Amino acid sequence: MNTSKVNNTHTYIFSKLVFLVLTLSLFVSACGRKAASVASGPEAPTVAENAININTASEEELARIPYIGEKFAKKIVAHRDAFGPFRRPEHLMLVDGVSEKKFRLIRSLVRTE
Amino acid sequence: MIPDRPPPNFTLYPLLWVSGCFAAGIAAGKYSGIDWTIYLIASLIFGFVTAVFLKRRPAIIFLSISFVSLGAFAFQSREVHSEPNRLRSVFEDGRIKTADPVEVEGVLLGKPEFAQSGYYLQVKAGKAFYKGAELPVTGTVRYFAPWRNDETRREYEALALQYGSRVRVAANLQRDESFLNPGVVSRTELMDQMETDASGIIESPLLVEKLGDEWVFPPLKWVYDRRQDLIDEFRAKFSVSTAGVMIASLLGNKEFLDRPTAEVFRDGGTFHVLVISGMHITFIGALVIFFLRVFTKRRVWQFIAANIFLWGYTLAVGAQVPVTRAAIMFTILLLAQVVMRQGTLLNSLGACGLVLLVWRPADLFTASFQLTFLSVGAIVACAFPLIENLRAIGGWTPNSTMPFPPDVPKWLKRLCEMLYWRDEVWKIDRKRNVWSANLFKSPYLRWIEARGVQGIAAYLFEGFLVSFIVQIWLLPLLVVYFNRFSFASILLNLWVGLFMGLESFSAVIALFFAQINDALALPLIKLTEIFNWLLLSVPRVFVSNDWSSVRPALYSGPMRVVYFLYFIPVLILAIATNRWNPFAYGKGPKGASPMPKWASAATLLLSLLIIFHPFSAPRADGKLRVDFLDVGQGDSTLVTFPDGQTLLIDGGGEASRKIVVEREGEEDEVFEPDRVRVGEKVVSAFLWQKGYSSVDYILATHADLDHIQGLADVAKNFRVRGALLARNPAKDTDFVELSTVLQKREVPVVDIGRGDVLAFEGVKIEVLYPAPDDSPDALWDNDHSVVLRITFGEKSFLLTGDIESGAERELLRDPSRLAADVVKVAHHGSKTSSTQDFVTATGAKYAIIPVGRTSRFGHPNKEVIERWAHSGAKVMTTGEKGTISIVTDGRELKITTYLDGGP
Repeated sequence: MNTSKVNNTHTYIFSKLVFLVLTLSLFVSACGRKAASVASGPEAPTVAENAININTASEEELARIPYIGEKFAKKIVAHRDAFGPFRRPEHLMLVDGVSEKKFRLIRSLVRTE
Repeated sequence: MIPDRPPPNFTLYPLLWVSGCFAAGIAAGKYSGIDWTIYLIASLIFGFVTAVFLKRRPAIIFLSISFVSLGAFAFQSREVHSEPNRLRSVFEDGRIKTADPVEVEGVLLGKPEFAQSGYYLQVKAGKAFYKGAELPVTGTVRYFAPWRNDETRREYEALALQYGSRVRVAANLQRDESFLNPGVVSRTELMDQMETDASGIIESPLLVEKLGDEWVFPPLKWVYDRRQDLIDEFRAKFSVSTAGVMIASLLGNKEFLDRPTAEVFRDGGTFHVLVISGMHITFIGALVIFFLRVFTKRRVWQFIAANIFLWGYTLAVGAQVPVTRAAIMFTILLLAQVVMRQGTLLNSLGACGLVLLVWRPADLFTASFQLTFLSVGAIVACAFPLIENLRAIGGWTPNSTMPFPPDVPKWLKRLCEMLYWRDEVWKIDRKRNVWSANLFKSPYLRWIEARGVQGIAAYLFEGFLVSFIVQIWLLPLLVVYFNRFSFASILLNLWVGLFMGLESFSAVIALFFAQINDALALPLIKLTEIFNWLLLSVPRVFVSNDWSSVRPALYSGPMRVVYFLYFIPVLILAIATNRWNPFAYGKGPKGASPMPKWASAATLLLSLLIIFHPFSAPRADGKLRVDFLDVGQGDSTLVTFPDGQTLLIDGGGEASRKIVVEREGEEDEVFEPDRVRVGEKVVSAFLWQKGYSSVDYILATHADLDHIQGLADVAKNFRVRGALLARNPAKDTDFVELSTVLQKREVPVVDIGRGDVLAFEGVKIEVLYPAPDDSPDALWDNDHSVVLRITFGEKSFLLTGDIESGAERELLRDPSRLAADVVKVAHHGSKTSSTQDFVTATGAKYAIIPVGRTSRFGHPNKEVIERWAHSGAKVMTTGEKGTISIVTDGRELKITTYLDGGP
């Protein structure tokens, strides 16, 4: 009979929709939302007032910075000569031998402008 | 029904033919010297001519030439068209030198890719700041940012880098080869295949500036974030081994695979399941379609939905070239199934080839493309038609297209009937038919059908057949690219495939449940771990045997043609398989053509030749040859004697950071990252490309990692006749690794010490140091390195290991023994060695320093180099020159280096 056929089609569509909705909801709930961490960049370092400008300082002045000394002062100057001035104080770490640990110790003592 | 269409002019498979021509053209474009303009003109002319002669026979020749030219043009136009601002070109022109500091500004392509102890950033470069100038650049830079401690890690997380972040990164950029040795895989080629122009290591989070976030396509970002969530979930819920396997195979990140697990897959020849490849894409695609059938019977909708899901997956895992390739192939092959009739699989294969090669012509020469395409080709062109025929033979009942029983040997008929004949079904059918027939079926084991295992048996048989055929097709590639052929992999592939599927299902469902309730997920997590253990346990059994896989060496010179010749009989067999129609009738006396038999014999012969490579080792030439390999920081020297015997002194080696992985509520595990060791990728590769699969003797100078680690790898990969050791430090882990391998491979150990003389034909080797001492507590450190003096005719070599000033002083008590033409400088040129008196005593003309291009320890020391140079020696380092080879006939020395194009 016509009506039963129509009813069958409706049931068919309905059951498929229910199945689809169930699957999607399980899927979406399975992807738990992580609490968005409030992004805060690293704190800006406080630079001392008499910080040394690593771009204009001479080798002797650089050697006076604690943890730097003659050996690394030479290297910093050589780096400056080969690759130009440092754009940021952090780029001191690109000099061979200036490790992250060392840099963090002298971070507040250097500047680039 | 007899088709009415006229038979095709030339071939049933035009796309296959055309793509073959295109590929040939690409090869022509690479190796012939002809300019691309000529190719372009040729392809246009011949294309035009083809159109004119369209219906005639000669058209096929013109069409072929046209496509060959097109292929060559496509290849060359890509090469020529490299943008001048592309970072790759900037490095190659020398405008930026490798290892120089560069600050790059660009946008992140995708989320940071996590590894066990750091993450990778893929930056699409826009600007570069170098030597005070700002350069506009294009291309991609891949950075690795290691987390040295928790604080560093927190700072990186605080940066909140994500897909689309605009960043400025300052680091030393590199684009160069890692080891300059023959046989080593080129790092720049690998970079190019991964679409990376340069790489760098970020020393500190302070060197990264985030300038903002660019707009990105939200669904893509969502998909990347979900992928990262899944990676975190896997790591939290599963053991190191299981998590590594699942993250690699499902999410495309190999950084969490630990070495022991990866080695089980490698040794068994099943490593390909850990990489997202055709197998995964097919599996996922088939799964999606199966699922979609619930919703719609219309193939078109199934096709569209499957593709959306599949391409979403491809993008999610990073859309690297191999994954994209597999997705393209799946789409095209699926399209053929949906849109066209059956039997056009070969044409779709041709279409795949054409699309992939038009997209990236240079891929034709990459291992990844060749392996993917050939394995799919093997399955589609060989295995499927064969299986179809076997099914038809087994299940045959008389019908209009096949009125007569198949004309095949009895054993084959019985085998097929065992696997495919359904007697129950026939009984029912028979009642329905208007006609009747007596069918005489004689399957081998009738009970298979009765017990209901017939389906499983057929499945296993087909799986085995496919695996076998793929191995045959891939044999030369596996030997040439991996120096490995695993006989056991034919079976292991089935096992591993099955358990990977089970494990993946159980892992995904476990994670599903874990979102709802942890306790609910627990049994499934345990089940996944069991599957993982089973996955690894069976291959481990095979792997511990010597016969299940071999490490073949390679032919060099003209014999290399055997790797190409191999494909001729294989191709003939493929064509024969396709043409085989067991039900053909009325075509006259069908004396079986001898071709397939000859082709099979040829295939067998050539495969044995490739696997066992007789006469591949270089012949004895009456000269003494010493090769100082470039193993970075470390030593490895190969001595080849005039009678052909070989002695390997030290094998290089590098430390790998082992990380402790902690999980809530579980025991700590140690994670060893899966890095291929120097002994395998440099030293073994060097020996294999020379054609050696055995080394006569290995000698360790001392037990430091960068000398002795590689020897363990060599002892595993090669047949070694004897090991020469000077000490026996039972507590040293690196030494213990070597001695364990030596014991397992039953290699005799000979103790050597001061005063021993090793005699080879014409060559005398004196052991000058250290004094013999085989107590298990005796240290075997730098100052007790073995010192050797090799003499051949009038020339002599002094090899010093890592001795320091103490040992040098002792040796100076008898300075006459130190005179040598070539000296290997001790301890990589460190200033604790090469004292002035020692240098003078040797009177060397050549001082070789095996050391990396850059050294953490400041090797080689400038003063040391000057000392050697001042006393008249020419100083050469392997870091700069690559492998340094010295050949002598006893009277003269000839020196060549890898960089100068030496042999």
